[in-house]
Order: sequence, then structure tokens, then C-alpha cells
Amino acid sequence: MKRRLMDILACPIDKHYPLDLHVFEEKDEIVEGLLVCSECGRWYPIMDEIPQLLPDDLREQRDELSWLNKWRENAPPQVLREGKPFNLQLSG
Amino acid sequence: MRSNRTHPWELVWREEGWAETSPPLPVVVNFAEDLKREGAKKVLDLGCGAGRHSILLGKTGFQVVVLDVSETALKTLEGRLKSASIDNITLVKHEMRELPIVDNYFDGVVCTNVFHHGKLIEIKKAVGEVHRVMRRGSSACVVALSAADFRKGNGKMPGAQHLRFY
Repeated sequence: MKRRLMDILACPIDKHYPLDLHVFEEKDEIVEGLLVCSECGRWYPIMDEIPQLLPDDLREQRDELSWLNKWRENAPPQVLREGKPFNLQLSG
Repeated sequence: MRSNRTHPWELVWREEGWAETSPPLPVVVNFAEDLKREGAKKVLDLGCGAGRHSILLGKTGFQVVVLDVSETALKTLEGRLKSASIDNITLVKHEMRELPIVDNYFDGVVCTNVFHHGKLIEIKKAVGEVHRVMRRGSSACVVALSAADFRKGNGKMPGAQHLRFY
């Protein structure tokens, strides 16, 4: 994901802007990272350079939690515990 | 929550080898020329697929944001962009109902053969969202099949109530 995309990305649910960016891996572009809406607490993954900002009903919980668990050392603790629409604590 | 059910459009791209890489529609070519003449800079390609129109818009010189719900489609487009050394297109995985974009941003929007796959309530929502992200006085080029189209009802439903091929 190109960093300049942060200038226009908003939370798809409540349109809050700007989103918080957490970068896990970066080359020419951000390869892996996390976008967080500080308004509603939702998190959105950046996987393999592509930000994925899907509404709740289209998200794939198992895959996304597996991805979040992989990056748990880098992700904000609040996202791990209380992130929406699902988090590692709720998933057990 | 979808509880990990793959989106039907992703299935279409991944398992049925869907890859719309036809030449751009003439109406979009003309629209891009109009946008350039009007001084447009920022353009959205909503439901970009493999980039049938994204690449045209990128080569025209716009700063292009493209959205599609299929990761396979986006990865296909990403490969095409790298092969063509096109650097002014940014990809986002998303679908049409709730755009993850700030208000009043784009100078132009292209959306071809996307809206008619949704239910009426979804189409209304998507049109409202497109309007929200468009700058005042900007233009959109929308191509959608009519409910009177002869293909309506003859398509197939790949495992989802909200995806309907007409």
C-alpha cells in the first residue's frame, strides 16, 4: 500500500478520518500492516500490499484472526483485546 | 459476520478463471479524454476487476484509486501494473456499499458493469456513496445493465444471495 493512500482512506463504517497506521513490514510499499479507526475501534489488515477495508458482514473472521495472531507482537494491545468486529480475546 | 465464507466474486475469479481484460469500453475511453480536458486529476475505478479501465486511466495520467472485492482480481491487476511500470494506481480491497474514502475527493468516477449485480437497496446505497466521494461538479461514467436486459434471470448464482448474474 502506498503511504499517500492514508490521505484519503476513511473508516468504511463511520467515515472517521484519518485512520491510524501501524506498519509491520515495508519495502517500496507497505507490505503488511494495520489500519485502525480510533472512533469505532475497527481494525483493517493490510495484507500483501493491499489494504482490506471490508464491511463487517464480508470479513473472513478465521483468516483475519489468524493473520492478526501472526502479527500479535507488533499490533497494538488494544486491537488484540478489544478490536472490532472481532479480536483475539473474544476468539479465545 | 461471514464466518469465513469466501466472497462469491472471489470464487468466480479464483475458480472459474474469470479475467476481464478486454479492451476498454469506447464510452470510458471518451470519458477519460473528457476528464483530462477538464483538468481532472483524481479518479476512482469502482469494481476495477483486472484493470480493464484502471490501466487506461493510469496511462492517461490520473492519480487512480481502484476498488474491488476480489483479491485475485486485485493481484492480477497488480501484476499487470508492475509489468507495465504504472505507478499512479493504488489498490484497495473493498465492495461498493460503504466506500472507505473521505468526502468530496474524486474528480471523476468510472464504474462499469458493477451496480447491476446488487439488490436495489444495495445499488441505492452504492450510488449515494459514489456521490459522497465525488467533488462538487465532477463527473461519473456508470455502465449498468437494465432490468429489461434479455439476460436478466438467465444467469447463475455462485453461492450467495446478494450476487446475481443477469
